[in-house]
Amino acid sequence: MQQKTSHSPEDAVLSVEDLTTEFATSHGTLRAVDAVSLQVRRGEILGIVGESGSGKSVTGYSIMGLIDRPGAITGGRIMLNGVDLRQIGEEGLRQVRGHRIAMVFQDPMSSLHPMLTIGAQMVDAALAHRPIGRRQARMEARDVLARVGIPSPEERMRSYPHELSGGMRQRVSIAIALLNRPEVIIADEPTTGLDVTIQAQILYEVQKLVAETGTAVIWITHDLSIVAGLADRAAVMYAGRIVEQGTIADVIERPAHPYTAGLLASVPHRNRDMRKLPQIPGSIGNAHSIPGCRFAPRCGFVKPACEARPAFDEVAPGHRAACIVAGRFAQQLAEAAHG
Amino acid sequence: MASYVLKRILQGLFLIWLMSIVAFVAIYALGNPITALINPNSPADVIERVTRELGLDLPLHEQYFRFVGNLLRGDLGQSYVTSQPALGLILERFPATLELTLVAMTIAAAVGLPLGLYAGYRPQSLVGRGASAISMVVLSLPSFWTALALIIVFSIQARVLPTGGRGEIGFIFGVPTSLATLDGLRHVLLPALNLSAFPMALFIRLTASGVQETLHATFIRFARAKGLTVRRILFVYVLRNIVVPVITVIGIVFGVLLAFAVVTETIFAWPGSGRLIIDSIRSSDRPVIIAYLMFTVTIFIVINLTVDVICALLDPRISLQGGK
Repeated sequence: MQQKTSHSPEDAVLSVEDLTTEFATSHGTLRAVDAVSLQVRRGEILGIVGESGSGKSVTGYSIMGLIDRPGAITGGRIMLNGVDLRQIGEEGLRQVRGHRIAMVFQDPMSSLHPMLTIGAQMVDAALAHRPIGRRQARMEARDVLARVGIPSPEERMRSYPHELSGGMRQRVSIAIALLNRPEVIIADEPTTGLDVTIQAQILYEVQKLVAETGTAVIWITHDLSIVAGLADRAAVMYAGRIVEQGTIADVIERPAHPYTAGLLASVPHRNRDMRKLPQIPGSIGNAHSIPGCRFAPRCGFVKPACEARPAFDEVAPGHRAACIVAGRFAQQLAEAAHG
Repeated sequence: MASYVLKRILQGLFLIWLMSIVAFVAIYALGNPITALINPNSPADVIERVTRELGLDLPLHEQYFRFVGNLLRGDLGQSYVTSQPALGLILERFPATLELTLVAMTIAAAVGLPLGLYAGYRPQSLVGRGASAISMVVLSLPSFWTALALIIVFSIQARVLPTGGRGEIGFIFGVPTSLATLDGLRHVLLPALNLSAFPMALFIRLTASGVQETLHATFIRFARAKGLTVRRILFVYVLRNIVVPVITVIGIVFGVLLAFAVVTETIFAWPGSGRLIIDSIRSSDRPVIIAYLMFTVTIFIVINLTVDVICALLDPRISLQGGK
C-alpha cells in the first residue's frame, strides 16, 4: 500500500483508501474487500452496487469497525474528516459508531432487540454518546420517529419490535441512525424485503433528510434501479473490488466496465415482447482467488492482457473503471447495453 | 392474567389427581407392606387383625377410594410406623430441605451465572476454558463422591467444618433456620456446596452457550453499531435475551433439588424430607411415601406456574391470554 495524502478531496467527509478486509477460512485467506477506495461528501448519496458476495456489506462493516474474527481489516485507511479510524482504538471507534457514522442493517426483523421497547433502544443510542438526561433523550427520540414518518411516535416508543410491521421497524432503525445527527450514514440494503410502496416512501424520506441535514449517505444495494433514482454517485463492486465509479449519469448512461454494462442490460424495462433478458454468463463463484481481472471468466471482451490486474483509471473526469478496454470501448459498451 | 393462572391451577389439580393414581398403583405393586411392619412370625390372627386395621385387606380400588376420600378432607393418612399424620411428618422436615436447597441455589447462581457470562463472552480465555472444563467434570461426578470428598478435605483433614447434622437453629423474622447462627451456617455450608455443584455447572454451561449464541445475533451487532459500551451490551442486551431460559432452568433445578436432595441429605445426616422418604421406603411406610409424592408434585406445579408467570412478565412476546 503506498501512502497517499493529497488523494482525497477536501470536502469529503469520509474517505476510504485502499481498504482491504480478509477472512481466515479453512481454505486459506479470503480477501472479501480488496483495496477499495471511495469518498463521500457532505449531503451526497453514494450508491455501492454489487451482487451477493461482492463485498459491499463487508465494506460497510469495515468502515464501522464491526469486523469480527476470523475477519480483520488488513490494509488501507478509513479517514473521517482527516482522522484515520484504524488508529483510534476500540473506545475511539465506539464513540464514532452511532454518533458520527451510523449504520442501518439489511434485516429490519432482527436488528432490534426483541425484549426491549423501541423507546429504550433509542434512548440507549442517544445516552451512549451524549450526556443528556433520559427525558431529553426520549424527546429527541420521539421527534426523530416523527421525522421518519412513524405515526403516534409517543405510543410507538412503548411498543416492542414484534408489535410493528417490517416497514415500521426499518423506519425505527433509520430513526436510530439519525438520532445523533451523524455525519455519515451507511445503509446496507435497508429496503430489501419491504413492499415497493414502503420502499419508495423510505427512499423519499432519506433524500429529504439528506437535503435537510447535509448528512452523507452510503447506500449499499444490489438493485441498480434504486441507485439510479436515489444516489448522486455510484460505485460498482465485483468480487471484492470496485470496478467502476462515477456519477449516476456516467455509470448508468455511459458504463465503462463490461460488468456494469451487463448489470444494466439485465434490468427488466419495457420488455413487452417477453424476450429473454440478457444475462451475464457464469457466476461470481470463487472469483476472489483470481489475481488478474476477476470478471475476465465471464467477460465477452476478454483479452490475454486481462490476466494482469487492470488499473483503475479515469475514462472521463471523475469517472473511473478497472478495465483495459474501458477507455476505447465505453461507447460500444453503452450501445450494447441500451441496444 | 387471572384467568390464565386459574386455568393453570385447574390443570395442576388434574395433574395431582393423575399422580395420586400412579403413585397409589405403583406403591401397591410393590407388594404387601405388612411383612415389613410386624414380625412375619406373628400368629396368623395377629397378622390378619393388623391387615384389616390398616385396610390392606380391601381390593385396590376400594383402598384408593378411601385414600381419595381422606385426601379431599385434607388427610393424607397416618404413618404406619409412628401413627403421626403423614403430611405433618413431611412439613416438619421440609423447612430443613428448603433451607438447604435455597442456600445451594444461591451459591450456584452467584457463582455459575457470572462465570457463565464471562465464559460465553470470552470462550477462549483462561477463565472461559477453565469454567467450561470444570463444569463438564462436575456434571459427570456423582454427588455421593463429591460429598465424601468434601467431608474428607474439610472435615477430616482440615477439621474446619462439621461432617454432618443441622447444627444450632436460630430465628430470622420468627422463622426457625440454621442460617441465623454461626454453628448452623457451618453445618449448612458443606451439604449446600455439594448440592450446588450440579446446578452451578448447569448454569455455567447454559449461560455460556446462551451468551455465545446471542453475541452472534444481528440485534447485538446493531447495538454495537449504535456505539453502546461492551458493558451495556453484555449486561442489558445479552442478559435480557437469555434471562427467560435461565429462569426456566432455575425453576426446574430448584424443584429437582427440593425433591431429590436425598443423597446429600443422607451423607451429611441432614434432617430434611429427603431423609424421611428414604426411611419411609425402607420401612414400607406407604402413607408417608404417597404423601411425599403428592407433596412433591404440588411443589413442582407451583414452581412451574411461578416460572411461567415470571417469564411472561419478562418477555413481551409471551402472552398469558391462553391464545397466541
